[in-house]
Amino acid sequence: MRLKKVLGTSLVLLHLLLVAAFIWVGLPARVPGKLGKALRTYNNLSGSFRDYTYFAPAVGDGYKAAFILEDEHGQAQVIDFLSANKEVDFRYQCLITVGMQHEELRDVFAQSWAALLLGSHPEARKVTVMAKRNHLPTMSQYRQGQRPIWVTVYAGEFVRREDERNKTVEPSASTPPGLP
Amino acid sequence: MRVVWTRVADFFTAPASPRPLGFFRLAVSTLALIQVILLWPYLLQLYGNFGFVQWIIVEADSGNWLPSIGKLCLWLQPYGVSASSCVFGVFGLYAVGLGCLLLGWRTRLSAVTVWLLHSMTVNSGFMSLYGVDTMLHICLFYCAWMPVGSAFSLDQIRGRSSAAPTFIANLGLRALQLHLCIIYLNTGLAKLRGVQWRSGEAIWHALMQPQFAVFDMSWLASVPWLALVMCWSVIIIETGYVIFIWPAKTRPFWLGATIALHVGIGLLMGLWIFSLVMFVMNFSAFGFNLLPRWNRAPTSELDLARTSVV
Repeated sequence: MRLKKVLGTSLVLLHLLLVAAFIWVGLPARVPGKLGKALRTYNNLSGSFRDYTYFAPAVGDGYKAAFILEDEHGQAQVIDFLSANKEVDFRYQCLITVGMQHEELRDVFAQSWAALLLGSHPEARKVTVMAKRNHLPTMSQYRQGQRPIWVTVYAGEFVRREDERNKTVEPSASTPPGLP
Repeated sequence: MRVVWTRVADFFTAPASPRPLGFFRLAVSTLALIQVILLWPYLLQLYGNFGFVQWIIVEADSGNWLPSIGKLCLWLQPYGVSASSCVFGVFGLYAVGLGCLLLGWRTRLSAVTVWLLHSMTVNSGFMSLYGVDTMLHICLFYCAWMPVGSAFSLDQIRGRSSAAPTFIANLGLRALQLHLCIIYLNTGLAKLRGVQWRSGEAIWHALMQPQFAVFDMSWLASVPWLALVMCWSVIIIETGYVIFIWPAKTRPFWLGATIALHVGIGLLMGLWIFSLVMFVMNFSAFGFNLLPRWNRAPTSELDLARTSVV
């Protein structure tokens, strides 16, 4: 029993030490090779894959995105990248932020989103991905009359390849309630 | 020295009731089930091969040995299993596992299964994750090895486990308590380093973000002192947690303040599931044993008798 207690306590302490090292020292990133990979695996398994610094040290700008779909007759419809389901909408916001925060990633993500939209709207010939960042004035600037503005950070056009038009696309993400 | 050592040993290994952990299991599995139900119609968008982030992007070397839904699909493809079936299969199994965990049926097996499946979903959809997923994963990690099935469970009713106080229940609670201290200390110190938090602007920025806006909070700009008080209250509650949550005299107040903070986040920012998960973690770790009813309840004799009858 004593051995069980010592072993159990040691394991708990080791786990907590690793958690602290993951978030304060950035341990997994610093260790190369298989040991580093093992630590990254434990990092993920134990839920330490984020550093728990919610909204800190600063609250970042918000983003929003929308898609303009155009069919072969030139008819366009705008679909906002948002959902009435809050739980889903928070995830959309994470995707938009991850995809649009870094300039070098924007094309990759926009292409991926456009592919989903073209897949779920067979009538669409072209999709334009638009993303904007919310610039919020400080409280003092707001009192002086400045108001939040949306600044366009990305606009990309993606056209369906003609040879893809007649191909069967695997029924992937069906059109969700939030994205008509 | 010996006295200190004994107190440290008691802190970790003195027997404790597993009831707070039983409550923890019930609440965590309920919230995780609600989350799955809310996400179900959107699973293919968020985790599918042709979802918003295609697997080719997600599957770029993750640097760990964890499986993902994409890798599972590759293994199952030769047997005719489609990508979408894989996504629904993983989440379906996860939901069934959560149901078993909720009931406390084969609790350990259910908890380990649910934890591993959640790891797989985290590894597959990490770009769309936010705080609630991190916290739920921590909870499921602890469910996998803590005696969460020893109370309020079918396993206990059927005599497979007992609600008698054990050292492992105490050890589990201590791990959860110390993990919460690390979380709050880290977020508190990170906020303290931020100019936005020290000046009161952070609350303004958070509440005015369109994605979190539940109410029109633009009036806050006219009362900047209130934003400043709110920011510093958050910093004090979070950094002080590691100290003031422990003494019996300050615990009820600090726990109350922390829960109030999360109620505020839920109410003003709409992050209800996140707030509820944080409430469950805090209440299980530090609040459950403050309830006089549970402190009075005799445990070992009752449960041992029940075990022998079953």
